[in-house]
Parts: sequence; structure tokens; C-alpha cells
Amino acid sequence: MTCEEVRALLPAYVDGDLHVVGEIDVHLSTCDACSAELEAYRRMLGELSRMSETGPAPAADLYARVVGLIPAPSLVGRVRLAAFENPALYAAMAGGVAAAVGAVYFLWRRSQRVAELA
Amino acid sequence: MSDGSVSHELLAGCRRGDPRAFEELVRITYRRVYALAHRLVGDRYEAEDVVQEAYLRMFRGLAGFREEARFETWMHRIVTNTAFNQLKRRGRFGSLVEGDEPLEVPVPESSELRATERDELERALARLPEGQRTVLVLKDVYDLSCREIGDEIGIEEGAVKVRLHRARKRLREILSEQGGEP
Repeated sequence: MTCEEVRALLPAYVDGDLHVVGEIDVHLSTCDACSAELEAYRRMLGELSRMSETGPAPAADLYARVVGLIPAPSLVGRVRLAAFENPALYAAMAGGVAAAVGAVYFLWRRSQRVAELA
Repeated sequence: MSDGSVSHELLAGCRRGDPRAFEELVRITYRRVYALAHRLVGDRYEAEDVVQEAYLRMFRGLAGFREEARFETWMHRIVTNTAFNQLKRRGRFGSLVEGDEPLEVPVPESSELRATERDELERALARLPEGQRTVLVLKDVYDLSCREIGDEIGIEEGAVKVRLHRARKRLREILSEQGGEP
């Protein structure tokens, strides 16, 4: 293989995604210039892979703008959230509601009986 | 993502509708989300639009996110999809598909006279045609597979590999022209 042919394949060679790897290996073992080019590709890819942790800085107010898009929880959602954050209070409220329902039922049954007796 | 990872507990808090959990999720992800958007659309203001739309989509879709993939991967796909839609709306999807129109190159600031290799690389990336830059950024920076990229862009995996090959070659040429040698 010539230098030109090898260099054309280096962008895929760095992934080992070629069927002519052996031929390229042979060329690289005797060609310093192509070996240096391969090393440059590897440095470039290494630097690219580290770029995911960095990048252009966002505008100072972008965070506030995105936070402003957070959906407000619904009434049901707020109750659920309160229940999760304060289970004792939620249990007490649930108990209170159950007691109130029970009391209403008791009074209703009693009024029914009084009506029947009358 | 940039300042920490997204935990299962944090996502659970968001699903409960806890605004503080949402704020924390945004805080630890928005810098990387913005960086990806900027690298895909190549413009600060368009990137901000993409970020806001992507977060809206994420907020709506989080209840259905089953954590079969990492949150970061899922968010990357939302940002990528949103960026493509943005490019389509702005009439730039053609260049994305054909990959033959370089974007406007950011004007170097004075501090870049002492630019690091990474600065050189960012500038070189911005000079790639959109179609090539998109594939290279998603594969070589964000480590998506060629298949995933093909799914997002709507092209075959083989076409992604071809475009990636051209993108690496072109990026290497640009770096040589700039004199930067990462």
C-alpha cells in the first residue's frame, strides 16, 4: 500500500473497523510519516472524547430560563408530594378524613333509624 | 452530567413532581446539554432555543422514562432530535443531510491567541459541514453508536460510518491548516 492509500484509511483504522488492517500494519511498521499521522488521529480522538465534559459556556441566565419551564405540580401532585415529605402529617390527615366520613355515616344511620321508629 | 451524575433518587423526585428535584436535575445537566446543542447547531442563540425546547420535552416525557438507558443517553437523544427539528425549521436540514455546507466560524477572541488544543479543536469542529459535524460529535464526543446516530438522523448505519470517516479526515485537515495538533 502507498502512503496515500494508507492515510485515506486511517480515520477508520483507528476504530479497527477495516478488513485491510494487516496491510496497513505492515506499511506503518516501515513508514514514520504515516505512523506520525496515525498518532495525530489518536490524539485528536482522545481529545474529542474528553470534550463531553467541557464545552462552550451557556449564557448566565440560561439556568433560570430552563428552571422557569419546570411544570407546576397539580393539586393531586402537591398532595402526593406533601404525603411523601411528611408521612406523619399525611397519616393524621387521612385519619381525620376517615373519622369525619365515619361520623357522617353514623349520624346518617342514626337519623334513618329515628325516622323508621317514628 | 457536568457537575455530577443523575441518580435514581433524583429522577424519582422529579416523577413525584418535586420542583426542587427538577431544579437539581437542570442544575447538574444544563451545561452539558447546552454544549451538545451548541455543537450540533453551531449558534449560541439557536442552541439556547434547542436547550429550552429539549427540557420541555424531557419534563413532559420523564414520567414515561423507564431508566432502561442512562438518563444522560436519553437526554442526548432528545437534544439531538430537537436540534434536527430546529435545523429543519430553519431550512438547514439539507446541509445536514448532504453535509456540504460549513457553518459560520466563530470569530476568535483575543484570548484565543493563546488558545489551547481544545480551543483549536472547538474552532475546527465549528468549521466542519453540519452533516459531518453532527455525526462526529455524537460518535466521538458523546459516544453514541453508529446505529443510534443513524436512527436519530434517519440514515443507514453504513452511511453514518462513511460520514464519520469523512468528518475525521476533514477535521484532521482543518487542524493541520490551523496549526493545532491535538
